[in-house]
Amino acid sequence: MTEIIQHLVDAAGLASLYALLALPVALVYGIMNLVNFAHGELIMIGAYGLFIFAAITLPLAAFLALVIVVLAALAMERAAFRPVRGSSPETLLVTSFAVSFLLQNAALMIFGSRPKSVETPSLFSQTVTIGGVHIEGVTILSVGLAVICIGGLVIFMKRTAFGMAMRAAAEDFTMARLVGIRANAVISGTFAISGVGAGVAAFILVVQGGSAFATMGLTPVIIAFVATMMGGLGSFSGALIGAALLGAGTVAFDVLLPTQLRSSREAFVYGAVLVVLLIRPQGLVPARRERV
Amino acid sequence: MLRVDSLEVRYGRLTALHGISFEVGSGECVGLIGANGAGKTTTLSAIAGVLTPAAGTIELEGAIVNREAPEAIVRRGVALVPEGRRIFTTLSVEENLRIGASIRGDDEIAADVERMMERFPVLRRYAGTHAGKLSGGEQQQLAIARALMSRPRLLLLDEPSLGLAPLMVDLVFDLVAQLREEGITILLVEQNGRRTVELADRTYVLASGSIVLTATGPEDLGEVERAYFGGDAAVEA
Repeated sequence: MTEIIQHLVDAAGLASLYALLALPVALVYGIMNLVNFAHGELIMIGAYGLFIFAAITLPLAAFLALVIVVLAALAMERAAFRPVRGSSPETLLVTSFAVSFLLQNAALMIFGSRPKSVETPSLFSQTVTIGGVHIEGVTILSVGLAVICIGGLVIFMKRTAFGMAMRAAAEDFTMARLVGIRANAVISGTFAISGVGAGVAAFILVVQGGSAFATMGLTPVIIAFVATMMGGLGSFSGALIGAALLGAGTVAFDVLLPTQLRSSREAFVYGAVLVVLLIRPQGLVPARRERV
Repeated sequence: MLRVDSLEVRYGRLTALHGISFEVGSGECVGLIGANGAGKTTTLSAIAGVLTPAAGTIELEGAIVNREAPEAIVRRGVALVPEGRRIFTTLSVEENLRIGASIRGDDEIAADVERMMERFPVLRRYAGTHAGKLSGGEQQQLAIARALMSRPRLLLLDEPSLGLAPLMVDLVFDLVAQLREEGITILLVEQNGRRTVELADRTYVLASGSIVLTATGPEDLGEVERAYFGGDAAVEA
C-alpha cells in the first residue's frame, strides 16, 4: 500500500510539472493555432534569469526572472509571430522553430555551452517522510506551484472579462473580433500568461537540475507538445489530462518495466502515446471550435 | 449611414463581388437577397471588416472604413449577426450576452443583460447553461441579443431565418420589424425574398456578385422572383 502511495506521489509531482509545461502551449495554440516550439526557450530564458539574479535573495531572483520571461514572451509575439499571424499553421510552426534556434544560439553565444550552475536552497533537496512515503522537496514545490497556477488560471478564465474574452477567442477568433474583442490584446495577454507558465516551470527545472543551459528547453517543450496533442490540441482540460497521463505513464513504466529495460522507459511512454493517438487522433478531449 | 460604392471583393483569383453600389440611410431597413453564392455574405463580411475590398469604398457615417479591423468597425456602431449564428458554445448564455458588450465601458451592461432576458425569455431560462446546448432558434435569438448588447446603430443580419422552423422564422421577422421601429438601421441579408421585400424599405437583388434589381415594395415581387429564379434572362429583361 505504502508503495502504491509512493508511486502516486511521484506521479503527482511529475504530472504537476508536465501540466505547467503543457497548459501555456495549449493556451497559445487555442488562441492562434500556433504550436510554439520556442516556448522551451522562454523556460531557458527564465533559467538564465535565475542564474543572473541568484546572488540576491531567491524570492526576488525568482520574481525578476519571471518578469524577464513575461517580457520575452511579449517581445517574441510582437517581433516574430504578429507579422505572420493568420498564416498557415505550417508557416507559424516554422517561425516558432526559427525563433527557438535563434534564442538557443544567442544563449550559446552569451553564456557558452557549459551549464551554469544555480544555487538553490537546500530546503528543496530535502525529503519529508510521512507514514513511510518519501516526498521530495521538489515534488512539494511542483505540486504546490501547479495547484496555485492552475487554480489561479481557472479563476482568471472564469471570473474576469479578459478570461472570458480569451475563452471566446479560443473558440472562434473571428467572431470574438466581431463583438469587439481586440485581437492584439488577447494574443499579447495569452503570451504573457504563457510567459508566467514558462517562468514557473523554469524555477522548478532549475531547482531539480541545479543549472541553466542553452538547450534545456528542448525536452520540456516536447513533453508539453506531446501532452497537449494527447489531450486534444487547444483544449485546456485536455492539456491537463494529457499531462496527468504522461506523468502517470512515465512513473508506471518506471515501476513496471524489468530493470534492464528501464533505461528505455521513454520509448515505452511515447509508444503508448502513439497508441492513444492512433485510437483517438483528435486527442482525448478535442477542443470545441466553430469554424465557419 | 452606410454607403457602399463600386465594391469589389476577391478570393484569390475569383471575383466574388463585381463593383456593387448601394446605400442604407439612417433608420432604414434595407434587404439584400439572392441565391446561394450570389455574394450576400461576402458583402456583409466586407462591411464588418472581415474581408478587405480589392476595390471600391465602404463608407460609414462619412468615414471610409475599407481597411479597418472588425473590432474597429464594431466601435463605429456596427454589429453583425453572422450566418450560422456563431454563438460562443463554450460560454454560458449570460456570458454570450456580456461579451456582446465588449466595446462598452458604461455601468448599464448588467441592466442591458436584464433587458435582453426580458425580451427573449428563453435566454433567462438558460442563462447559466452552455450556449451550445440551445436549439437553433434559441441560438438565433441569442446571436441577435448578443449583437444588440453593443447598442449598435447599424445591425447587419446574415440569413437570420436560415434553417429555422416556420414559427421561429415568423418570430425573427417580427423581431426585425420591431428593431426597425426602435430606430436601429438594418441591413438584412436573406434567401427568403418575399418576406424581405415585404418588410424592407428597399431590397437589392444580388446575382453572381452584381446587383441586378432594386425592389421598393411588394408590387415588385414578380420582377424579384424573375430575377431570383431566372438568372441572366431576368437581368437582360
